Amino acid sequence: MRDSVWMFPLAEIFHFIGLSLLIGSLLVVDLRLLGVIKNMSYAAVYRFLPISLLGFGINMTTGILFLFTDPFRYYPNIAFRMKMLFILLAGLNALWFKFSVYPLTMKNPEANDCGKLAKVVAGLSLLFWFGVIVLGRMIPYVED
Amino acid sequence: MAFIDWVENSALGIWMVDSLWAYPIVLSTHAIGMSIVVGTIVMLDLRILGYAKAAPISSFKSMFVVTWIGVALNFLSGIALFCSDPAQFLFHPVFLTKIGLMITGVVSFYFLWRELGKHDAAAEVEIESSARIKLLAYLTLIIWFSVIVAGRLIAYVELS
Repeated sequence: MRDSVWMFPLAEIFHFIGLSLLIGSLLVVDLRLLGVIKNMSYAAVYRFLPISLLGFGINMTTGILFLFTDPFRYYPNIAFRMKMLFILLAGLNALWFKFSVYPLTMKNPEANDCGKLAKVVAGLSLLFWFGVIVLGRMIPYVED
Repeated sequence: MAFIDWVENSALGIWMVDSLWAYPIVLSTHAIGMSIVVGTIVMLDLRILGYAKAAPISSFKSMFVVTWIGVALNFLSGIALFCSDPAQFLFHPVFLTKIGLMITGVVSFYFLWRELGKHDAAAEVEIESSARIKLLAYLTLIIWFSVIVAGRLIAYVELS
């Protein structure tokens, strides 16, 4: 990574593309769960989840590449640690979604209002992922 | 240069440079706005170009308020970021390219938004067969990915 001058900017570009795919696809799903987007069968809505996984995959790969460029920079960085914590929380929220909201919505895929639980999970999803973005931006700012 | 001096000495310019938290807050806002604008537009474009066909294109209309909020957030945070170092940005070729692409992207999205607005929910077939809508989808897709690329490259082109 360090030897090629273009690797870091290229990785950054893909990291930002990945996060846009992740946020965009999650906005479709979460806005539907929140009832902002209506009249879209959940069977269709959930077709956007593979795009979330793609975005996450791109970012995990480029993220690991960043770690390799400067292994001792990130571990002690408080913003980086909190960012990893928020990703974990988002992941737990996603599991919660998978086992509770997903089967609930598939029982009645055309329903525009899916109740409070769906809205809470959707809201937390957006909160955690926007938090990940902010914490990522803070990484250079909390270094000495 | 008078314009640069004026911007640097403006309240916003001074706040961005002096305040410890101004720059990180504005930068975070810009990143969030970017994810919203590029994210929602790319999802719409993917749908128009054939992905997730079971989702009615008309149903994306209520998502666009979020897209426009993202545009507003980035317009405001973008101005603030510019004011933090106008001397560097004003003649920066990569920055100017990004701005040109961004304006084209916003205008293209506006036309796509307007074109979709002409069809009501019952007109899915018309929307699906519209060549103009497909063209605007390709255009916005290419442009918005390019805006991200240009944005990331600004820091890598040094000015003397």
